[in-house]
Amino acid sequence: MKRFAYAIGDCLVLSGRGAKHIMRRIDTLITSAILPIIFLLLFKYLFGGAMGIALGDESYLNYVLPGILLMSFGFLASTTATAVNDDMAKGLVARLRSMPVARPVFIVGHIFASLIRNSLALICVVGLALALGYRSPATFTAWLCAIVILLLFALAMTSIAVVMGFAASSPDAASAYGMPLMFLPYFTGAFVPIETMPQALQVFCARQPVNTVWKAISGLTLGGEGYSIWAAIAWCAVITIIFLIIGGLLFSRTEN
Amino acid sequence: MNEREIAVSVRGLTKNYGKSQVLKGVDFEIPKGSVFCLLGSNGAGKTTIIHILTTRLKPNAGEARICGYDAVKQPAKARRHFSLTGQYAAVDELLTARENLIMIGRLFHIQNPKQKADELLRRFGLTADAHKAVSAYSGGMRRRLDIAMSLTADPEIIFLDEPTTGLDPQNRLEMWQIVRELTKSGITIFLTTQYLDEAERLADTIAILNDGKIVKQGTPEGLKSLIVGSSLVLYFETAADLAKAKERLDGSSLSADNDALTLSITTDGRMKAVAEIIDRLSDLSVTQMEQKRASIEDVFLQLVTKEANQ
Ligand SMILES: Nc1ncnc2c1ncn2[C@@H]1O[C@H](COP(=O)(O)OP(=O)(O)OP(=O)(O)O)[C@@H](O)[C@H]1O
Ligand SMILES: [Mg+2]
Repeated sequence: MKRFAYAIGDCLVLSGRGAKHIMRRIDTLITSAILPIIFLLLFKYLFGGAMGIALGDESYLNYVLPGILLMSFGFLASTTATAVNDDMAKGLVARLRSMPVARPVFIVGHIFASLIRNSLALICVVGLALALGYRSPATFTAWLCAIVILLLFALAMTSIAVVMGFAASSPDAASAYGMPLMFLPYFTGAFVPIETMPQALQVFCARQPVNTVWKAISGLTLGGEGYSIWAAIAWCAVITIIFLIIGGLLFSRTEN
Repeated sequence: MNEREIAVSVRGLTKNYGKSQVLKGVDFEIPKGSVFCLLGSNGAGKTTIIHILTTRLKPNAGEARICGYDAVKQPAKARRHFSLTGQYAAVDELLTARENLIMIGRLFHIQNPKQKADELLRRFGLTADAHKAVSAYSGGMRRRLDIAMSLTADPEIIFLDEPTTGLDPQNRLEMWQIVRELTKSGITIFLTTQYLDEAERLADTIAILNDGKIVKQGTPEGLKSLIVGSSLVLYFETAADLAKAKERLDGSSLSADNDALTLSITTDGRMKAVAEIIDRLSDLSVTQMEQKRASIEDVFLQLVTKEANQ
């Protein structure tokens, strides 16, 4: 019981640290919102015309919004990977490792900061999309559901980023490791329908977890069919749990 | 010695990184409340020993104990007794000094983190800068904060890995003062350094680490014969004069650089010894003279010359 109370207390302390970091690195926070906004503008104005015609649906914006969000979360993972590695490089991880605290809670501070950045990106992108004419027929409950899945996906990406941060040899390398996460949503139906891809790619894209997540969000916000909320949630949960365990092990390992 | 009175004991410690053997059987014991100084040059393995003792790294063989607890088998118990100040200041740059201290205090679950933070800030002369982000701190201030953070939980043993490396002379003196103050509180101090004068001034016991082994161990008095105060570097105009000087000073520990035309002579740092050297070389063309802080290399040179002379 006491241990549990301690662990909760430690989480609060480290979340506080995460919050302070965000407030004191406002430029990082601003770029967290700006790049996703650029993605949105790019897809609406650069590709929107052609894609709208090709899809036989004049609002590519409606179609592409979930993909933009997923891509943004992937992009933001880099920031977390860098921050985790920076703590390693600065010796802070070594200090925490040599302390008798419930050790993996160290990660919590980074997750908290990451969720704040991701939420901000979510708000900015959806807000701007609405201003540019995005319309969703979905109910409030469906949206709530979509937001939960989006945040779970952000959590999953963050967990992968934490592991990358531990595994990388320098903050720069950590940032580079995070990059591929940003491209995962391209291999789904989020930007172009899977049916238009080469056969081999179709097989992969249809089966990868990010596609399941995308289908759920797209279905929830646009009111389509053939998606599973539970499958999406399960995928996010599985990825998060696996990577948090790896992260915890990496953090508390004794080097050989 | 009674088990209970030993803070750190290391027996037959070996460590390999791939094929290179960094530690080849290190043994030592540190009594509680004393200052132990591990002296070794760059890459001697000082940090490696500290990492093993602080449960971060596994040795290939041997035993490392902290207050009786095995660092490899009982890391969680061992961790309750020590605190680590690494070679590079481990502070959160974006937080203020006070926030750093409070954060660590809370993670240690101490009773009164804020009060403890203020007390440590005062003790380390950081009160005036307590609310500045650490990114604006000088190297010396960071070091002080780093040590303050290590003392948050009142550990029995503190590891200080090269606490003065990279500090200017003024800050170095300050750090020495801090270490001396620390000893008053009865804490056991494990300190590493590359500088002999530092070890001599601060330590109760000095152990010299070379090539993966402790080559000498003793009190500063006991090692007095090895303690060279400094080395005198002479710059010559001609190679002939350099050769002459080498001849005349035969028997002292010398190292000559024939390309740069310099001769470095280790001395005990006393005026008398320096005056004698100058006296003997007064007719030679010395363009410049320089007094250098003794390094571990000078000690080895001294060790080697001593053995050769015997
Ligand atoms: N992770 C590692 N992998 C391979 N070799 C390593 C590793 N860490 C240290 N070494 C090597 O082990 C040797 C001892 O390193 P260590 O850091 O313990 O030396 P040190 O005495 O602390 O030196 P310094 O005074 O430079 O801090 C060095 O030759 C170093 O290159
Ligand atoms: Mg070192």
